[in-house]
Amino acid sequence: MTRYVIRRVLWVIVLLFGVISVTFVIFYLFPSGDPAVLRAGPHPTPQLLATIRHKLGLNKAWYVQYFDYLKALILHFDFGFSYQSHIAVRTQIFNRLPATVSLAVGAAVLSLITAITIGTIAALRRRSPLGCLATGGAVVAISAPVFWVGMISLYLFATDIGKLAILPGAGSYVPLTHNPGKWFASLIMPWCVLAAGFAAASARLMRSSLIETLGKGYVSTARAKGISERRVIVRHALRVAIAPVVTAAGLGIGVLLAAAILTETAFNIPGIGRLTYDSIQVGDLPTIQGTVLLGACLVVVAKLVVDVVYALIDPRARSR
Amino acid sequence: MSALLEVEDLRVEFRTQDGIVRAVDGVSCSVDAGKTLAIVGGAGSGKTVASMALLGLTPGPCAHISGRVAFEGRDLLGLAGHELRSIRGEEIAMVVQDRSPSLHPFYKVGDQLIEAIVTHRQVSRAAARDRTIDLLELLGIPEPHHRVDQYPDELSPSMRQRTTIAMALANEPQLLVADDPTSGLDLTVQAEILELLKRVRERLGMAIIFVCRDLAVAAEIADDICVVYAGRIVERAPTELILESPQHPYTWALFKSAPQLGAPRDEELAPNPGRPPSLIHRPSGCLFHPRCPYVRDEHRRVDPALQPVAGQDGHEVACLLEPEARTRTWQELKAGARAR
Amino acid sequence: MSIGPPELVADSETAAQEQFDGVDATEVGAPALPLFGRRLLADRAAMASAAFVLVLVLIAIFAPLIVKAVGAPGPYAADPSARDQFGDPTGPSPGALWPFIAMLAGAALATASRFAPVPPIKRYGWVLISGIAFLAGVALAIAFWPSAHHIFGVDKEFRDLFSRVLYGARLSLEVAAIAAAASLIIGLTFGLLVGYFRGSVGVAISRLIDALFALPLLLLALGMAAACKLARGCLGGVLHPGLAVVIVVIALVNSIFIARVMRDQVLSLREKRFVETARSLGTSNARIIFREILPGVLAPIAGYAALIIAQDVLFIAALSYLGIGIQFPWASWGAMLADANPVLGTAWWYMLFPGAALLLTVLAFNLLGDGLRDALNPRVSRP
Repeated sequence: MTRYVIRRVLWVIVLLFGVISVTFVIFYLFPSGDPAVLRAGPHPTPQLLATIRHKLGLNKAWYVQYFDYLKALILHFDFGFSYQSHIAVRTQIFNRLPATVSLAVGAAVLSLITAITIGTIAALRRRSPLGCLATGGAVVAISAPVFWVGMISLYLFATDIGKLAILPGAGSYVPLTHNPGKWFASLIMPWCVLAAGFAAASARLMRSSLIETLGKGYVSTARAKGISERRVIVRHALRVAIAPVVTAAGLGIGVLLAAAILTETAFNIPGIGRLTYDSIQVGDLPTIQGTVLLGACLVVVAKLVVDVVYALIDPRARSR
Repeated sequence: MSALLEVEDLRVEFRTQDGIVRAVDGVSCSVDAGKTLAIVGGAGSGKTVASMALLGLTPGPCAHISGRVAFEGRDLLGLAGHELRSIRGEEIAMVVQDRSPSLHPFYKVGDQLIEAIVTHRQVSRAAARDRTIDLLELLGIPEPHHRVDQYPDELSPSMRQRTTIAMALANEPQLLVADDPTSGLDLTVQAEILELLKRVRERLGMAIIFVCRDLAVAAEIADDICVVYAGRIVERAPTELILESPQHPYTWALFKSAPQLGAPRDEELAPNPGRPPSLIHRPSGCLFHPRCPYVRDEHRRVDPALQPVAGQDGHEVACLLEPEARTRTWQELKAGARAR
Repeated sequence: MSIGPPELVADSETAAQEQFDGVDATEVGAPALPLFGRRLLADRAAMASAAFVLVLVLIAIFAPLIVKAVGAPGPYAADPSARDQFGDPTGPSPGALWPFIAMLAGAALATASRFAPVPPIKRYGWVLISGIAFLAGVALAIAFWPSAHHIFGVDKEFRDLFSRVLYGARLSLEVAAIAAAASLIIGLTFGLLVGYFRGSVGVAISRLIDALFALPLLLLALGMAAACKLARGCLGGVLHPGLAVVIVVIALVNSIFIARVMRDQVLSLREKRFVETARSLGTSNARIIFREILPGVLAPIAGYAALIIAQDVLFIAALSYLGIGIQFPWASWGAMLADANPVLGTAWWYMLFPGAALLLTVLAFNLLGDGLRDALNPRVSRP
């Protein structure tokens, strides 16, 4: 197991290099036009442009720029500087990280728990109305755009504009350390909205995976041993059925983060996603670059965690 | 002496979108204590479904089972869940087909065996582990203390099959239902496992229901043989009688495709003509008539029932051909085989 | 919302089939097209969603005609007269909504009937329900429509929302279809080649595909679209921001996924008996690819195509919502929803109609994709 973890960590390092390189290509080489002008903001004075050119080494060859970029990132954690807001991107990001983490992790946990429960019920009670409702509801849930669902829930439940004012509305987020109660209340709607689509997709997968597993030989063998049905389902069937769901969760983390951007925008939560949105609106390229890069790195690391969890479930994966 | 297990008119139907699938259509048979019954049939004959129905293991919520399966007088089909579970793995054990893996891929082999033991006996884990090692050794698995901590995909198919059998034998059941335990294994291994089963059967006085598709294998191990086709028994007899004078054309086809049953080495294997029957849209009249080389007009309309064969005690066949015609045809087939 | 890969595990109710000593389905070649067609026609729910998809496509194609026929002013013309007593944009005409409500309710019930546990309801409920709903909708339309002017209300620039929603359908489906087609072609080609030819180049590309797949493509695609928009052009002016970038970005992300899926399919098909037989008979590689492997691979593509279009529609809307995708003056559902954000409490119709349209479109394609996939799985036999 330890060998497996080490192998995965090495691979993650390779991937991180890949991510950094791709973001370099996207944000330095891809856009046409003068890179300095792009970063200078709405009022580019000649001095500002010169400063930027010097700072980013824009007159050097592209591979030199690439190495400088790498060096700055790895050694100094320097994600760049936003000339529009006059603040280091890193500072902005780390200020806003807790909000996004609260939102994303909470939604991930909620969706996994919901998905496993609903998926199992849908598989075991295939013919009952409950199972069919679950299956049908899941299809609808994955078809609805997350920002729209957010808006609808705000319209219905938000205390300021909602018809049934029961939950805090947009913009009411406070950090956990300030006021845990308010923090929790303000996140309930965003959590549900963000988790809904993800949970629905995972629930569908869980359902079909469990149905397929229940037809396998080892489930019959387990039953033939005289074990209780509950033990057969939990210890023998579920453990195998969950594996594809975990894999899909790993693949879906990137989607979750992207959806978090949309959710933060709809609910006005001061996280990295909202930062990305605002930066797009004002055209602040360095910040966008920084947030996308951070997001991508977080996803790669999160996938590592998911892979390790998967190896805990399926011992055969440890030798891969 | 009443039989250990008596099956009366067992029927298993699956209601699907494409129609009703009659997998098992009225099977009746019985096994005495210590005896071995073989159920032989090709693909789609319903033998696996029947064997799983005995212990209530039929998969899927859309199965309808009717009939009576009496084990020591008690009807298994009518038992409540926990009663059935106390019988499974203790008095009646089953070895399922290894098609989709029959051993759980995520748990160590030893743990799976220990689970089989601990479910029915109050023993310590250490004692169960010792018994597991003994069982593996009994089944001819080398280095059992090492194997106990391995995962199923680290074992060869023959060892996996032996492990599955060991798991079934863990609590010394009175009846073992073995579904095709030797398929996919090469011939020497097959022979070894059959020998193993015979020895264990001897030691434990265990009855066996042996499901397979190869008449030769069945002949090796069984006292009585039932040949099934399209969910029905078409011929039933003690082994010697079937080997000596098989009566049903399907049984003849099984003979021809079994390489070991006395056919000369260089004879070509004759695969059964035609395709397995659709269990939804069943043929009219005799179920075998679309594939029968001796079919006559009447066979398309009349559905034969099992009739005793004159002069042979315990031999029954469901065929519309006259007995003399059958005997003659069989003699010709045998002579032809020898002559080639 | 799910803008990620469709399930990697096909829905397989192996209840009856798997336990039969039946002919091993893996031995036979790809499911024959006639069988596929038969099963598809028999799956009423898939047929219902196919019908709905057809209606959507027709609406999208004929949007301008419908708008003219109804008498709506079109998606770009501002109508300053559409103000209420506060001078704010007016909402939807109450009476004119009934036809839509009737038809929506019918569609919802018909969808629900797909999952009903009672076979007769499942088989005929949808026909009955959608028929009744359609007739009711037509009747109500005839009754209420003439008095309505802006059926869905107007947006913040006083443009007719009904026309904008319809034109938005056109745009979304167009872009999604193009992106899906591009990604299918690219993905299929790469997947086929890499899966079939086992040379070192193939292996290298295969590894590359896996590595790319491990990256968070969605986020990077977002970044690429954003960079393009801010720079007002990418790759030295080859790509202009807006439509082109969106299509390229989406197509790239999806094609990697498709390539991977196709490669796995081809790999498994390659091992099957009928391919080995063909090779032992000396058939050329190209022939094998086209006659043996391609049919087996094309079958699931139909299902994936529908599911990918569904994802693409959502992705386009998301990009437009963020301000990166399709913007003013074109009518894009995502942008309309972004406009709805600040006035949520009062001008609720900005949000409801584009969002509902999005939901219905994506739902239809998802159901269609599900139905296609189920019809193709040779082992599935739904009780």
